[in-house]
Amino acid sequence: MSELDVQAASFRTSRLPAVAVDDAIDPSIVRQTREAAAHVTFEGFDLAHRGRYAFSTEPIPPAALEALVDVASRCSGEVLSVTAHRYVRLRCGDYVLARDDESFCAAVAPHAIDLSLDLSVDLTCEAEVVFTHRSQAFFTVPQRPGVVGIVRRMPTVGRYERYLTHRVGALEVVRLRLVLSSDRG
Amino acid sequence: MPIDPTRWNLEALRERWRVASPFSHVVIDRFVDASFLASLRAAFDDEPASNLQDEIFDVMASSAPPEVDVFRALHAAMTAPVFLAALHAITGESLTGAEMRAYAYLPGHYLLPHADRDDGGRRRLAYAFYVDLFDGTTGGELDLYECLSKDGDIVETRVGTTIEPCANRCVIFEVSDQSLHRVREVTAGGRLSLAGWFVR
Repeated sequence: MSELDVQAASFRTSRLPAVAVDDAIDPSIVRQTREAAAHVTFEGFDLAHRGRYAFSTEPIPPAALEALVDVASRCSGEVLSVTAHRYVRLRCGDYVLARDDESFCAAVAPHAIDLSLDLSVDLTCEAEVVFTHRSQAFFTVPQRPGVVGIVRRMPTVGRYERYLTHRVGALEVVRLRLVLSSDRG
Repeated sequence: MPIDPTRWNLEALRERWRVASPFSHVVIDRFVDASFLASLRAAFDDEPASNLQDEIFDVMASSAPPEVDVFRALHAAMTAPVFLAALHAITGESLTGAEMRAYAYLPGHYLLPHADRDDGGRRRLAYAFYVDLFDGTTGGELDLYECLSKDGDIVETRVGTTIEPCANRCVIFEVSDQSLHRVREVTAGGRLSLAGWFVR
């Protein structure tokens, strides 16, 4: 049984389904997607009360898209399709607050699946993705290259990405984020 | 009396409060007398503190209120009728008390942009009193943001004023939905402060 299968069992029975899995995606696909992310054009976002980061909605490489949808579907036990996606890049001094996430998720169906694939080259031990339930943190996706975080969104669930300090110097955190919904609505 | 607001030029402070940008604030230097400042500085060694992390902050903080006597003496002075009357004269706010914590911002610590507005609107003024900076502090400045709103939403923000932390300086600013502020990440040294809100 793979780590993903073990985590999927936990995901399906949890009151607040959330897992973080290393090696859920073939490393060659992660590399390919990282390479693609290195060539997208990022647009800066800076609204102090929401966040400071760069993002892109350029297309996801087909192999990565297929693999990520498969992982999310295996985890949730549902047939899923992508309703929104974006690459997000954090450099030192950057952050994404829950208020900004509300904006991104405004059009997302209730109980959607929130997936992030860490495309960073380096481990920073910062800028973790934190999920909250009624404003209390209940799950953290570590910043670790290749890690996949999968969380079921509910109206009471919020999400933010912690501040990346100047200790990391020139290192960057890059993530591909997908919001997926069941084809059954 | 560690703070003597009777020596303040209330008229000048009121005018500074009125014209301050991007939102009402006032900076008061030589906030406490020198010997009391030394006592406050020393008290940081005795005050229990823990690392607090949340969506918007990472900092060492005491309980609220702090435990050691000298901090409590400062709190008493900042909630004395003569002090609150002086604040009323400067800001127009009718206040009944203050909340306080002691903070140590060390390298990697920060407070991200936020407004301090609470649900009940009890917090009327925010304050930060800088007690000490050490080991060549870099960072820790207080940025006050200018916000542009459209249809009730903030659509543009930029730093309007930056206040340098200096020992024995107190910054007092209004609390509103638009009073966005942050403490820049400390990247070297450290900054000791007492901060909180004046409440109605």
